[in-house]
Amino acid sequence: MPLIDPRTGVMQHNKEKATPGYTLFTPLGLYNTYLIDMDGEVVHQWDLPNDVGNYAYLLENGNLLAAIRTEDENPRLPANGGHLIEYDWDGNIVWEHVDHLQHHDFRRKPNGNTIYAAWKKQTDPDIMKSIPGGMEGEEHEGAIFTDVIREIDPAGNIVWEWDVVKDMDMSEFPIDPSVHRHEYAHANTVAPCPNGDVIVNWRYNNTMVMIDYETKKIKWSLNDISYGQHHDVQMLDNGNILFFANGADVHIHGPETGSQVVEVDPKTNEEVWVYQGSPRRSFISWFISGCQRLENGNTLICEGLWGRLFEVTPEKEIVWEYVSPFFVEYEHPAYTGNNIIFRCYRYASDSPQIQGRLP
Amino acid sequence: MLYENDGVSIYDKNKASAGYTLFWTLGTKTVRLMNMDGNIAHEWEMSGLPGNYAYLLPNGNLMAAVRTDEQVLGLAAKGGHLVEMDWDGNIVWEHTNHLQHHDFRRLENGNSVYLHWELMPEELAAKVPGGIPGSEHEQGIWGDVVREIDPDGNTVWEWHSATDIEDFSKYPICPIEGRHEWAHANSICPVPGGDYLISFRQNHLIARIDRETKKFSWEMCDWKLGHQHDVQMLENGNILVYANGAHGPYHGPNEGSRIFEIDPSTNETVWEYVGSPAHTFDSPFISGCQPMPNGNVLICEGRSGRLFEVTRDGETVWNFNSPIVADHAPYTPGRSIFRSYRYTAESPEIAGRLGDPS
Repeated sequence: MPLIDPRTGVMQHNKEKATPGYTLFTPLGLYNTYLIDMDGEVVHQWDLPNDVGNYAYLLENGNLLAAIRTEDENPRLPANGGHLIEYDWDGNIVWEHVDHLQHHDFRRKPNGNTIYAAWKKQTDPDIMKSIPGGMEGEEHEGAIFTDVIREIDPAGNIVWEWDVVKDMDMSEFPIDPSVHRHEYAHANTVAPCPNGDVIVNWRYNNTMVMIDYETKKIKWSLNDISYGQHHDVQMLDNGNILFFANGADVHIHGPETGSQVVEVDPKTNEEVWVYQGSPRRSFISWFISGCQRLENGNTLICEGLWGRLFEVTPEKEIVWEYVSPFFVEYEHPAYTGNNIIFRCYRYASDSPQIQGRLP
Repeated sequence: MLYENDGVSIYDKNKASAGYTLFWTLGTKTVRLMNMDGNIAHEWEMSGLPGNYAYLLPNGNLMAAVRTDEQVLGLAAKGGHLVEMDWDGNIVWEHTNHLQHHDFRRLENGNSVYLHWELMPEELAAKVPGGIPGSEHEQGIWGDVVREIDPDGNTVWEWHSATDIEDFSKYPICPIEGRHEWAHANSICPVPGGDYLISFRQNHLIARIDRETKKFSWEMCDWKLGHQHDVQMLENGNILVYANGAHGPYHGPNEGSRIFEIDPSTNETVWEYVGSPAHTFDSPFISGCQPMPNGNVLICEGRSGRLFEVTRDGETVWNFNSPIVADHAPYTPGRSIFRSYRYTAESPEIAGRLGDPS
């Protein structure tokens, strides 16, 4: 913690075992995306016009795709974006799209389209009544915001849309009983799979699903409250699913609670790899956060709440660890005093995202 | 990740309230009394594990609850054997009730009060609202008894949650907690005049029990308490409580534990301590708080075994991360501490036994 241990930057680096590359992250509450080398030095940065909603990442053409918060139609819900922007290496805008209710996640697909999550404000009493679970009476200013997954072509035309109210049986996945009813159900991940199917993850009902792109039906799901909500669900090259299990709202109270990074086999939903802190309380972020499987089999983890990015081997040895020195030192509505990070990404120097731009 | 620098890492001699700090790490058999530099000044070797803490009496003796091996129900914080030990570790008083748990206090008149479990009658257990459906204990639902005994162990007053609370529907168990207990009392604190303050974790309830009528003369039932601990009354009549911050409906950047001082006439918070930033102070279970003579508050952030003292302005003026690691399940390899207490060198608990604590 900053008070007791004010160290920031690279805390440890095992050069033989860590995966060399550049790490990209955008501190929440600050208006910059940073690309750092393995020593923690900033080698490139992009200045952003407002808060991110909620991150940025590099495309294979080396451009940065980011979501920036707009103030229009601001529903005052966490992680609202609204303005998707593609910047070139020098910060020039080369593409943009405005959808004020866009939030959390967005991805460029190989065909050039872009897919993202957006809210839909529901005030129809019948629809609100059909939304299951959560704390009674705890709607958001008389409304519930439900999720739509939207795919647009480069010109911004909607080419595919999936609406949780119309396309899913919500009764199968009620909001957790201790959570409010502001949203059904706070999607925080939209991750296209290689075959075009789409993984969506919701936090408030502890549910992740794979949507068949053609039929819009759910072809796989995982719903287990013991993970304590999750983020950054993704399919690995081996077909398994990797995600960050936050460990919030766990039923047990004891010294051995915390976050986990979990790899499951979707055929059985059995865990094939789990990373936990040792002791467990040394690794905990009850919201945001992410994970990335690296080429050599290591995993880069973003412990978002603490602004801590670290890489572990399959044997769970920490081989690189960095604490963000970028604290919000002004009055911010949500993040004052924090160095919080939603997600981070590592790119090798010979990756298409970096190649030729940095040594 | 919370980086822990073992031992005393902050000590502002001008602002801290100097004294000796007593703690009993969960999963160990040694009670430790240390000075402001973290050096151990005195120890008591106990016959068993804590159930759940120990504290010093004004006569300098140690009052403790030790876990017994009888009537183990699998519920948290079981004690069973209340012992008073002199400075040299000789037992001078004891009382056994295998279902005793969490809290116990010596009263000014020499009596003792403690919490223990009792199985709720089936017809009353059926009326317990909330919790995870079907998650009852194998024997049913365990209610709480507050039992006051004289020095010979005779009961002089008792209170039963199952029969003395009339309207169960006002106090549902948190929807993501089990129904093993209704509702996991973890504090029993005498207040002047003979009433008691009680804290129930599973339904975010703190209340004052009127000694005569056995009804709640004051209560606060609010998820903002976040499965709270260590409720107590300050000299000004306000209520001090450790609000753990567990199981709230929001999970964002401004969460963690909090210390609340509550005015019971309005239930408004008149003072609050929160970490800076909030998540740097967080223990979802156990933990405690103690007002210091100079107005500061000593806080036990139980899960990580961190004891620290803050001023009313929120400045940390003393910080200790316990290096004592539990060697017994289920707490190993943790460093958790249920509560801590600080006593000045001039206090009746310490005077004449130890010198300058700084």
